[in-house]
Amino acid sequence: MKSDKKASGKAGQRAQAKELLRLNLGKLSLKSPIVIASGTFGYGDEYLHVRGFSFDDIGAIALKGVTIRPRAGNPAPRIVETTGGMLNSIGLSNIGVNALIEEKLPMLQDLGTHIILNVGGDRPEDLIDAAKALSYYQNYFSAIEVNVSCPNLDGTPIGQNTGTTARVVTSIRKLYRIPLIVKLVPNIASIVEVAGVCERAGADILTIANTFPGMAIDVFKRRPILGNNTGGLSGPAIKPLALLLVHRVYRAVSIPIIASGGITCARDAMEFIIAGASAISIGTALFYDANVCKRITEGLVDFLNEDAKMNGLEQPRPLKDYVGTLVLNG
Amino acid sequence: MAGECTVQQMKLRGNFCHLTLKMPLGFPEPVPGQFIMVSCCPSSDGYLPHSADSPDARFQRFAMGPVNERTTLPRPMSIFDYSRPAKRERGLLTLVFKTLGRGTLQLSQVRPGDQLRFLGPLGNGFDYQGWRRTLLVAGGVGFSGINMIARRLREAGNEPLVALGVNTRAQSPVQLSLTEVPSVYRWALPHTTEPLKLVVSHLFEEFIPSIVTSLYPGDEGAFCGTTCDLVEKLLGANPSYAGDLTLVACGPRPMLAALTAIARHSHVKRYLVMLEERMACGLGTCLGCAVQTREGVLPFEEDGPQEGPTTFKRVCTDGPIFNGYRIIWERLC
Repeated sequence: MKSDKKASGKAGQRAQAKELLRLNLGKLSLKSPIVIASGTFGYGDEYLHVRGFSFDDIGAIALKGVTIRPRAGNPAPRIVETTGGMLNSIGLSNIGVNALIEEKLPMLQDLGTHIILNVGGDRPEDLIDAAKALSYYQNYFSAIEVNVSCPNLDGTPIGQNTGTTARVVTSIRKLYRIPLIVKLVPNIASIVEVAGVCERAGADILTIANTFPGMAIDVFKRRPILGNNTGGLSGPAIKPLALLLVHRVYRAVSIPIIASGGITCARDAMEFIIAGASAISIGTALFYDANVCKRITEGLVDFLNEDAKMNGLEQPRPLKDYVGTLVLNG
Repeated sequence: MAGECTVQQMKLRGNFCHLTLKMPLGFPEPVPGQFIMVSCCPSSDGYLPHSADSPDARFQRFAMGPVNERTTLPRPMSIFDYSRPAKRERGLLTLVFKTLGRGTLQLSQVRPGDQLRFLGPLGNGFDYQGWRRTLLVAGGVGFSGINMIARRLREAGNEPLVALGVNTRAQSPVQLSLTEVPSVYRWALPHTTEPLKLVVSHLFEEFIPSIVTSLYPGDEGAFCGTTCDLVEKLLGANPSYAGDLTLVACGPRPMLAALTAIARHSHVKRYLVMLEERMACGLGTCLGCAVQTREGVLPFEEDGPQEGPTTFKRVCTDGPIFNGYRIIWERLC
């Protein structure tokens, strides 16, 4: 049996180890690089009731996207598992800005971590209106994430068009003092171009990226499985695709990046951080393992210690020193 | 509760799998109607090859790539049974499911001692306090949603009538054998014109009494027809029973939809359905399991509205039990 003294020493070590993970995302200081992806965590309160779930390992939570009016969402089925991932066509089903203000704002403080507001909309005007309606309440949030990339709305996502994206970001920038995050479309001819446009329009942080559009077919019915025919692909299947996007954007812009795409373990997280991400987004992995954030946190600390040992360092280097340290071959 | 549990026993019966799990200490006792999400842990190595001609092997040839890869999402499962543990003991939870795809196939290949990841119990259970006459209808593996409520009702002294529909008696999710008609079921039988034989289904040493309906006339002891035919017959023979009847159904959606029409026609007081849907989180956050329902009237009214505003409900946190009259079946079948 371990003595109490030894145990408290270990706890102290663990606290010290966790300090290694603290990093800055623009003006935000995060206790952990883990940002919960919008749409996978509701408005946060659902997980308060899950016994065994810890908010300690979470740097920030991006709330479910809200639109100016409540949205019912797409017909069922809305999700289907595919090899190494899942397709979703929720269709931005949400309670709308008014219900968010009335029902959810009061309890957000209880979550004990940074809360990121996420806004969406079919048309640029809807998105700007939603941001406008919430701008008065911006002090409740640590940042606003503008979703120009939902694959499940009518028409092409706003983020496919650089001009429209610039207009939306410029308009919302004027309304908000808190950091502005733009969540980009992954399937675009040049993500570097739209990333640069966002930076010039005043974005503080980029989330790279949203889900990739995809489809699954029931071969006996010869119909798409999803009620809305198409959906957004997430999960480990898209990790290499997202990694390349992060790598490209990191080399082109100077604002920090939140990497999002199939991260399920500490090793995935390190790949993205080395490629240039300042924080990593967890979404689909949370469905597979509700305790995934704890596993990743522990795995990152292990990595930092192991890497220090391999390089003959006395002390492990903090995680932030690894951001963008990729060395290309040849 | 989120955590890991241990496989205690795994039995295959055709392509039905009976899985008994030892839950960790502190696992909250599930209410009948609740479910859990389960998936194989990365540490589990319980991947036994199936015999070459089993349905699973056929699925494997058709749908599995070169890598027998793990699932991304856990699988939501009805809780078939839960044995209350003695103090300081761990509870035993039983799942009965059909191997249909990659996830259920993997779960059917675990061995005793393997660890499974779980989240639960989830969803809202039945509130069965005010129920009087109860008819529980299960279609095939839908029986796994019905078994626990049947047992709890019986423990509470309210003997339910359980109807199980199978294609043939041999293809039942649980083992069946013939027995005498228990007198407590006479309420359902006195005026029926056709003779109904009852059978008792056995699962290991435990049993749940039921009427079994089989599509094959030659199946001894089974009612010939669908569960809907049976319910129609029972209600037709005893019209007065519908007034204080609670009808609960779990099974294929076309069955639930057909039962809705029968229940509405017969003015069944309370018609509850247990729905299944693909899920990702099980906690109400991902909104993946939404089904469309009708708004506008109090629950459990005799006649549900045929028109009116609709809304999406989450099977995981708003259900999985719904007033069957409110579900818009055309959108689901």
